[in-house]
Amino acid sequence: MNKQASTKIKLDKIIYVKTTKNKYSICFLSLLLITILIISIFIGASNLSFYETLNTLVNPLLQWKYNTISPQSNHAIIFHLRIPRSLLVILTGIILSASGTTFQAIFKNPLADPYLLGVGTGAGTGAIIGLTIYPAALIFANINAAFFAFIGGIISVFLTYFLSNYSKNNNHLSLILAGVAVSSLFGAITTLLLITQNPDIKPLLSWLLGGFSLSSWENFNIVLFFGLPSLIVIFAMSHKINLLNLDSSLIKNLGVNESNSIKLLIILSTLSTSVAVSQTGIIGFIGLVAPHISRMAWGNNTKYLLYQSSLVGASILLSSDILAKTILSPIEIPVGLITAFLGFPFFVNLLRKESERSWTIQ
Amino acid sequence: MSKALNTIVLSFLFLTIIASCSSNETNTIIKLPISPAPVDYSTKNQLSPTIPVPKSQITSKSLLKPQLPSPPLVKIEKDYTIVKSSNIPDTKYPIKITRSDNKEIIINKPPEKIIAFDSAAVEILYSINAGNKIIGTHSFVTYPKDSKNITKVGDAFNLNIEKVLSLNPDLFYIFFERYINDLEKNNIKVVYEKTLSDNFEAIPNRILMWGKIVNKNNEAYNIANQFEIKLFKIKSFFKNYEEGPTIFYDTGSLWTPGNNTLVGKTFNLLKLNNIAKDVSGYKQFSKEILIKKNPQIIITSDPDFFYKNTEFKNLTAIKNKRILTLDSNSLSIAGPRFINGIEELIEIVYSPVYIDNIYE
Repeated sequence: MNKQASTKIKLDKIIYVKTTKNKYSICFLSLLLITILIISIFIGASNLSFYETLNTLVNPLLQWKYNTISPQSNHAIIFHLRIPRSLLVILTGIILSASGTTFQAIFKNPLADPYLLGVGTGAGTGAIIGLTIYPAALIFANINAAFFAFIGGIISVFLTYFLSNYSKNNNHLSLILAGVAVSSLFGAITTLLLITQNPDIKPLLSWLLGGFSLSSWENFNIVLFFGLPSLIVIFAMSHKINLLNLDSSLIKNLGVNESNSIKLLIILSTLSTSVAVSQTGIIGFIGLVAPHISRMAWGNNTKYLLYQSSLVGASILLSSDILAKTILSPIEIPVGLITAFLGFPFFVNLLRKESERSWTIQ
Repeated sequence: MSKALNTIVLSFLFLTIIASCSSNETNTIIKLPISPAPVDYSTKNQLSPTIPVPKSQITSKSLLKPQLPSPPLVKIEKDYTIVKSSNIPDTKYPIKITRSDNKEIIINKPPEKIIAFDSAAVEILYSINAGNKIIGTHSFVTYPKDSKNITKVGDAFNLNIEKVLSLNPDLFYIFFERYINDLEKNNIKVVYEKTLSDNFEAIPNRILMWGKIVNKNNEAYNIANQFEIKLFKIKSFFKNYEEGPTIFYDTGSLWTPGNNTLVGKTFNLLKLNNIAKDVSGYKQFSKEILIKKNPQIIITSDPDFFYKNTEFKNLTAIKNKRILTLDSNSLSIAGPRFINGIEELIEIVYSPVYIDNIYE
């Protein structure tokens, strides 16, 4: 009784005070994302000047008026490489941070992240099985990889879930330990497959580290087709996710079927994450960093947190991708490396705060 | 009456003046030159000046013979008469061999059990009729077909030393340094020669070295001589050319060889302009730079990757259908087949007619 009362006071404090701030923050984050998107279109491996890029971008709109000719190579670079790449990065960022936020709410665990729960590695293993069983020349190779990635992701996340429940003193760290165990299991399977199946592992290796250097409209379309429906459902269920943050007894009193919504949400987040992983490779820590930045800045109301963390995650991933393109130009580094460098201090900070529990609702 | 007449005359005068003025005006108009019809440069193919004849269209060789520059007037510096087999004496054991790490190794008797931990060495040994002496190799060796039955003692970079010891070889050949100490501790003779990653001109020397080791000098001289003669003829033929088409070589997911690789050096020999010249070793090439540099020829094992992707559709190579594939993997192994790989490249990139002209 006492506990419930105190929870209610905290809820009042955290959820209902910051609503006005939230709306402004979403506008601000959208503007920020659009700015970074424009910058990312202007930056790339080939040294197109600012004017050339602008000319190529504006030319299709003004062709009836001015007969300026921009080379077709520029057109292909902007419209078939940079724009689909940036859009794919944004979509991946949104998917990873939205499912990160969802996982954190479902598992009531601030350390949950698609990567740490083993979804990333499981989906990677599945995708590699799909790619090695069917050679890349097949038309449906990409869709095939996405399908196998989803199966791998689902297996790994439920394995993690049951393993963490298996331990008697169920605390936050047992979930992470289970995730680590499952990740390393699937990582080992991946390595085994790479050694036995395919002697030419260079392309697969760069794919494993996560990167967008080979992305095209095809990859974007696949992620959009499979990822967007589940994203929409997740966003529509944001009020329910908010409730799942609470104590199990409280949820029952509020008349929510906890286990059903949890299962649905796990499947949807895993589906979208696996599809993204199958097309872009394993990109860690975005799903952990983005929700935490937004939570620290604007509070823990999942209704808004989903939007905020998605926008933050997309912005971070897009900026990391710009860095990946430019730091060692003309060589591109995998974007997964940059997010790992960014994510590490966050993870350490969270582990430190975990003992204080100053910001969680419980 | 007169007033009316007056007005009529005046108006007539006025009209004539206006008419004359206007007619004057038409006379003085400067006729602007008609502007040329707008040319849509974007739809024109950027054809290369020297598009070689595709293989399938050739009906008779004499018809399509390309106009060649005057025959090479370069003096042949070496005398390339093939030495008769019987002229070369047998190897006198013991022999000394200097390894890549500058150590000398002495071989006392012709080795009968060799582990060749290198694709090129296996190919050389088979080409000089010493294939039956190989008792072990690594699992990436695929050529010749007989090599399938040889015991595998590891994959290309991982060696199972226990297996090596159980086979008890007379001689162990390896192309990298890592396992030498472990092997020598167990009293195994190790010949270590660095893999020829960027110098195919040293292949004949390797063949001769193996001939000396296994006492197959005559065969080795024949193979090495053939190699050198062909290479010399190709070299002197292409000396007369300045620069060929631009080319991109894709080994999968846009990983491409730079200038300091076997393939890169072969491109230099054939005067092909590799767009990935600045790359060192093998690196993943950026799609953007590929489109910007717009190669005239692309060599790949997976043409669908280029034909399917919409972003490549305006590349010159795609428009001219110049996405080529090599049938064999001879260009990746520095063995006696390498020269065949060069010939195959000449055939698909230029024309099969060139081969006849080179060797005529």
